[in-house]
Amino acid sequence: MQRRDFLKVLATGSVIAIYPSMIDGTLHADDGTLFETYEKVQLVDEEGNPILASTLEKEKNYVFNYPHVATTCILLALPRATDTKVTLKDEDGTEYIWNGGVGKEKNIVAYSGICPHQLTHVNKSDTFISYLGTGKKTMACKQDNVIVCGSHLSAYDPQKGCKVIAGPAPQPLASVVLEHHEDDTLWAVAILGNDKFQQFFKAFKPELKEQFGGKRKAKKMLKNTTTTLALADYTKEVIQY
Amino acid sequence: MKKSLLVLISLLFVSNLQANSTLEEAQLKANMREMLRSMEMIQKGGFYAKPAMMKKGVVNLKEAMKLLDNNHAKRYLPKEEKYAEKFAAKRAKMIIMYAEDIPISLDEENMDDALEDYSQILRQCSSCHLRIRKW
Repeated sequence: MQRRDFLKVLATGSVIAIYPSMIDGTLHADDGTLFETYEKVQLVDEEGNPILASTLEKEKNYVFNYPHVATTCILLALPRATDTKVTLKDEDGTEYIWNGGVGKEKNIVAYSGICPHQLTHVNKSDTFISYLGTGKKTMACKQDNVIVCGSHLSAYDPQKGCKVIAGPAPQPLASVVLEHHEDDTLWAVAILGNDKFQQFFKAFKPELKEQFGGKRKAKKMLKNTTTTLALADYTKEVIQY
Repeated sequence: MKKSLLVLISLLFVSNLQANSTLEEAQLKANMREMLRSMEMIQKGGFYAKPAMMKKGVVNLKEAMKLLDNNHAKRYLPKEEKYAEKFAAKRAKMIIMYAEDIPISLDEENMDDALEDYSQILRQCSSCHLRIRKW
């Protein structure tokens, strides 16, 4: 990556930290799309009430769909504040900056639930990718507080922007850029990192047909709100190794 | 006499179990070979633009998949990989899902999607072999 491009991404990251939704459109660095804004949507519960950051249970897997109806993301309130300004690298070597968690404790994060290795993803029938909290053991690595893809045992560190810490994954999970407002509400505004959404839609056409009535319906963009649920309520089975 | 009878029964039971396990292993190997042949048929049908050949390959593949698609992955996984039964069962389920989509795509005259389904089946095969056979 050219020094100038890297600085551009760095500068972009600083602006995002102040107010992510001020940025519109797509920013490119080298040949990779690193940051893409979508419609700003509020995280709400099943009754449509706003999710308040301070009410999230720490270390519990929550999910919401963003930016498409069928792209499910993982929301976490980590046990402590995340690292900040973490430099990450996508599979083609492009660097970008992840700014850290939001909320009063700077511990709330959200990531795409699609593993970039073989596109294992959070879904309604069975979910092989999820967060394992403090003291939970995994075959993927010795560390706890990790997101693990149970298909081929890739492990990601959610404290550090989901940097890959074990397994065959070629890059971090894409992260959802969140805004935390003064009234304690949470909003999803953008995706940072290589999201693999298009490959996902191509690869899982039959599944999307079954679960959403077709690829076109599954690709529909969310507007205004997105329902946030505990992972255990969203999927029939959570499989962790 | 009683003791000898008990030993004999036990031996018969153990050898029967071993025979079953060997039979199952042999059957599994035969099924894997059949799956490979079916995949070759689907691929060939795709290259020669022969939908009927692809559909026949799908029928054969689904037939060969019966042993894998019975939610009893524990029975055929190697001892040290038995814990991964849900992973293996999921791959089997995905193979069936993509196989069933091939004739649908072909009937819609969408060869592109049918070949995408084929490549996804291949990915499920390699996904399982990566994990179970430690490729």
